[in-house]
Amino acid sequence: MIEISRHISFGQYVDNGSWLTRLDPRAKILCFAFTVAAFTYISQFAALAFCFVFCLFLQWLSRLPLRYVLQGMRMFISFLLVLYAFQVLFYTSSTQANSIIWHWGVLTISWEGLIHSTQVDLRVIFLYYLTSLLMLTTSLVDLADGAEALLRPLRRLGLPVHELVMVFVIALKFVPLLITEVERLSIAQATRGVRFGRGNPWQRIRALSGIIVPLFMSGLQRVEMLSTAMEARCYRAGYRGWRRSKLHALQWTGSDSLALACCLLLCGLLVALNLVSPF
Amino acid sequence: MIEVNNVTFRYSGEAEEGIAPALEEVTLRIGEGETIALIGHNGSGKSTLARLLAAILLPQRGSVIVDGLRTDAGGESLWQIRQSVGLVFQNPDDQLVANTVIDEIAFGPENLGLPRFEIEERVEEMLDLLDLRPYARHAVSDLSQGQKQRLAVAGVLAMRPRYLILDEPTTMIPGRTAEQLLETVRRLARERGITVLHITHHMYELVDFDRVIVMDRGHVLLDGTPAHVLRHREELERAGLGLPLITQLGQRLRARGWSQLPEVILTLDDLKAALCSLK
Repeated sequence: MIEISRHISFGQYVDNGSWLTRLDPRAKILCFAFTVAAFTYISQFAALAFCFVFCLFLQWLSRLPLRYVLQGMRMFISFLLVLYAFQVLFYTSSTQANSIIWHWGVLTISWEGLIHSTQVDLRVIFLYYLTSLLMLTTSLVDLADGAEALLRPLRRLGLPVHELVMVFVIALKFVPLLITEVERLSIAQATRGVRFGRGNPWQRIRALSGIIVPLFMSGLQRVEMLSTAMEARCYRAGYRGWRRSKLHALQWTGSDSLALACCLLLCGLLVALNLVSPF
Repeated sequence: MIEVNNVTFRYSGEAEEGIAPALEEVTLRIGEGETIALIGHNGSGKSTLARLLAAILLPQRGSVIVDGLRTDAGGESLWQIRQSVGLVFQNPDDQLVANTVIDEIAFGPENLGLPRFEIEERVEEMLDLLDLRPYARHAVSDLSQGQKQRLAVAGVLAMRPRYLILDEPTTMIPGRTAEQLLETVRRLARERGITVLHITHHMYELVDFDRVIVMDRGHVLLDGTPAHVLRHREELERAGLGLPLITQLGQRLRARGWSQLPEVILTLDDLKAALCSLK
């Protein structure tokens, strides 16, 4: 609990000048959306193997140390393993009866459950990898600018696109601050004798409330201060006729078109492979 | 020129609870190019006054007029006032909006709708002025507390305010760093003719300012040069403020018979000079 920030690389952009880093954020977001859709659609092991190769290729393009990326995923994967155990043990389906390996009370392990859960969890790991890669290769500002540019047509429908993106950026900005806050609070509570992760569930929840309640309070205070500070700097969201200018100009180049075309091609291949593959 | 005319301000709900107003019948004139230290105990109304000057709060009675514009006039003049009165808060984490140093500096100018080349020019200028160039592309969360506070000042100065209000900016940063920050701010004020209002509760900080305003329970208790203010030892002590150590030392020496020493000594150099002149 106390050293969370070491295990989370979420939202930590690494500016290493790689090809992926230099792509236009709009291209990256579009590629990301198509890849996520394709990865979510597939359900065959052959297609999952293709996903793995695809991820390896992206990893090579990103020039990020593999160790660093995996370290960021460690906490998530250990969480997923627990979920995997539950999925396997409580899996039920009509055709399962033929393939039972082990059975005790309500707990069952079947070949079908194993295969299904493995497929689901591999997919989730790949999706998590894609998300962390997007965050590691794109600064939040670029991400926000890209999202805003892509969502601009929705403004015609009266959706406050800029404000929504701003909320997203600020929420992400608060992640490291809140993590530091949790560390501070858990140390403060631990020195007063609160023991986390011990006792029955009720005691554990009570111990956690000593962190969650002050975390919410300080979070709300911060939000109020931040909105005051933003208004003091002439941020006037919602005021008619207000136009904000931008420091960064997004530039779509040949590499962006190439990346998008390759991505579409690979996603098409992936879906086709999933349709024809027997396993 | 900022004119504060008979201003009374009460936070909502305080009247019902019988709490005295945060500010009561305060009248002040703040001229151009002045460097002012605003000092007072917790709850003396310093921060409320700062927010009234920056048009974040509006007076319930009386008026605040910034360069001829009333803060409660509404409309476009509100934003003109907020552009010309820059406000830096105590905790930099509560006021930094963007994720990288460059984007943070650009936030205010972007809100003003300035053309891109001008935003770039201001960002470059601020990076040099506040020694932030080595961190230009860094994430804000990776900066030290002192660097964050410098960034907060840079973000506000990039809007080219005529008045800069610092609301206890030195509370969260270590002594040496705080001194450097104040020195930079004073230098900028001299070079660019910016009026500085530094809010603090550290008595030793006020000696380097042209003028000192002491607040106590919503009123202006004393207003004058540091030497003038420090002559009122009893009033200061009643307001919960002690004299700076060096001034106390001077007074003790006087009490022990060194009666030729001046009544108020502001700095160590003053004391040295006074002692040497006695020989």
